[in-house]
Amino acid sequence: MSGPGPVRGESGSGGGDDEALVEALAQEARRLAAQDDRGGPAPAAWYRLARTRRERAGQIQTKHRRGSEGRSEGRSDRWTRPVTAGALAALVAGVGCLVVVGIAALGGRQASHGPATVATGGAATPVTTSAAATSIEPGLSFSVHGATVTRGEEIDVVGNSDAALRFSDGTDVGLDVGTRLAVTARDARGARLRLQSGRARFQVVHRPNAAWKVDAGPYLIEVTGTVFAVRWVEAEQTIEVAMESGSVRVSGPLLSDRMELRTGQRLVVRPAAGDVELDHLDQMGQTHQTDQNAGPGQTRTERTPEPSSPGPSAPPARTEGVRAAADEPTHREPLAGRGPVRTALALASPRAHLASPAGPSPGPDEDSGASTATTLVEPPPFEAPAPAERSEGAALESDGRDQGAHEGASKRAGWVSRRWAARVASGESQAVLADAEHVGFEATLAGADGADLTAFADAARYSGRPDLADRALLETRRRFPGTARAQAAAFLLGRAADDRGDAASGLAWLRRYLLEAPRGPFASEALGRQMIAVEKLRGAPAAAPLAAEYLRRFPNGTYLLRARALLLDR
Amino acid sequence: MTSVVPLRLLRGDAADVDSDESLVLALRRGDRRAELAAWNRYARRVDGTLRRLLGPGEDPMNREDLLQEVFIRFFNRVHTLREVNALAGFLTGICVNVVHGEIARRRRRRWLRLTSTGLAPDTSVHEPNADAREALTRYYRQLEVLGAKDRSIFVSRTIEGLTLAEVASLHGLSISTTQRRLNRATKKIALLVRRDPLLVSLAAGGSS
Repeated sequence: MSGPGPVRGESGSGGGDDEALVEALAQEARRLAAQDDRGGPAPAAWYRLARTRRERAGQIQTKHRRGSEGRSEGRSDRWTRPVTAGALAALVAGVGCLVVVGIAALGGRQASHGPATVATGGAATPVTTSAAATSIEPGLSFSVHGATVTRGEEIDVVGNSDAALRFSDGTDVGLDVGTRLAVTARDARGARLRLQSGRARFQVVHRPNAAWKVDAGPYLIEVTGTVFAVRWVEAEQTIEVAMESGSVRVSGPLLSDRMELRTGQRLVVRPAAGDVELDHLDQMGQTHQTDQNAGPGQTRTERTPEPSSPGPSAPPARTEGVRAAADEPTHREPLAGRGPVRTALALASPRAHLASPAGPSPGPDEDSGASTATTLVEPPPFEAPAPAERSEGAALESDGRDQGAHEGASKRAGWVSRRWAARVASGESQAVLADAEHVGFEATLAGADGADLTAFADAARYSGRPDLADRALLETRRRFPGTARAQAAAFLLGRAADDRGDAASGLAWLRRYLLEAPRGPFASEALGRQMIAVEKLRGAPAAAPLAAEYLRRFPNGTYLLRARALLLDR
Repeated sequence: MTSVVPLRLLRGDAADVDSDESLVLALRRGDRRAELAAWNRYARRVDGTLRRLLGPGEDPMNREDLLQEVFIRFFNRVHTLREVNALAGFLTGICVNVVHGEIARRRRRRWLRLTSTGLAPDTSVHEPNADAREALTRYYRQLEVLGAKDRSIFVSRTIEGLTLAEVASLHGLSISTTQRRLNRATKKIALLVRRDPLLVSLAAGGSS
């Protein structure tokens, strides 16, 4: 019933690296679920189940009785159907909610037109009849001013005025119009709130052992005592955190760990675009001055200070380089009422390597005049690489730093990021290739920053240009040695060679990858392919040790059956 | 370090059934003691399935609600079970459908992670795996970019390990359509995962 299985579809599919990554996480999910299992549900669950069944049976009997009293036999049967009854209940509830929301919205408009009762923080709470204090011992209580509590502890600011949430410890949360927030947990030390959309400004009272958390999309902000503002734009998947005083720790996609923000800093993360920006308000004037002095098209080179690191739990942000304002996407109204974005600091993030459909057999490189055979460079003997002992995490860390240096060099060399990765992810591989051709393939290979070069390789693979893909991957290894990009390039080169039947070359690259990143995200597939290549080149007995290693390391891997067969044949 | 895991069997007056077949037959006869026997035999398993389908960030009380829903549907529909020996698969199918419905309901409310009780998920008792838990919670949150049905297809295939045919049947789709949607979901999720260093790190460490 719950047996884990390989991810790969029975009908076969491309994207083995994607599947391997997903399978690795699935294994972790299964492992964690198994660890969490404390012997099954508590005994009380059975009694609650029995009670629920009794209650439902009672409801159905009541409806059935009413139906048979007032309606014909056929209709009463329909009324007894739980689904129909549930739908009717939902309809009634929906109409009721609409009426309540409508009344509240009307009240909100009336309030905003009246004397500044809300703006004064309102002793009066004319907008919401639901502004009453809520209290569950022993946690903090809170009251809502100027907003609607739609369900439980969900708060919608549906009127035309801002609203506020006040906790019994003095903590105050200001809510902009249109904001949706929920209080998901409370205790004596603080509360956990989820910002569904909109902007909220938090004034958290500093107390010993205070514990406040704010969820915004996939981000978690941990607070002790501070004043800060958060905006979460659900549609754009963008978070913005502006610090007024104190410090918070932010974790989520693109942030390597809990990132500490201190007074005066502002963080903007757009995970979909792979962008992280960090401004420092203290340097705003200086930076702004620089902006004004910068000529058109000039790339600024100042760096904002990295966020301070409180220790191992919050490693410093890794700089990838400073991006010119002209390259930044249009920015919205800043949280702290400042001018447009001045200086951006991007954190390194591993490039996504998408699934590679089986490409056509390699042919001569018409653009470069070089054939694949002459372009490919065999990796040196297996014992060569120095970074083999590093963990993948270390490699990624290194990637972040080295990549920053390399991409800074790319910028100095005149390369302006073209954000090809996002376009490739959107299926615009052909357009990326055309763009690269416009720039010039050789110029792209020589000058593109790491992200664009990797995206170029992906685009070439997806567009059936393995020759170009291989050249881009080789350039990645040459120009960004020791980084996760280079490691992934080794794997992709090996897989490509393997797919076109060049088992020896593929084997060498796969071994290189496993030496450089023994626990890397492609380790499972690399080892599986290595096993099969060795079997093909040297026979099953030679592959048996690899099969044993594969089964030991990846007991649920996609090459499970082949590995077992190899061991059985021995 | 080993910890004793209590087996939470309810003695009561559970029916003495030694096989799924006799259990199903007893349930079909309306033997209430067989219901307790079914609970004792499958509650833990169903709970585990729900854990995997919902992820570590799920409120335990919500999960218990869904566990109840699974068993209520099971007791109501046991007479529709054709293969009495396929009881485990039948329950898994109900689990997948219940979770699918729950996720769809939450999406309709556009309030995906709010706990119905207003209480945060109890994670403090599992501190030893805090990092992995946090990473996997993020992973399950990322699955929310998929539609309810695609999420259900993806999770039931990748995490629960159902066969493609089982997943297709449960969702009323052809195998080819299921495969296509699965591939699309896999690509989308892998892209998101690679943008999160913590998840990449977990995948790298977890695969060895």
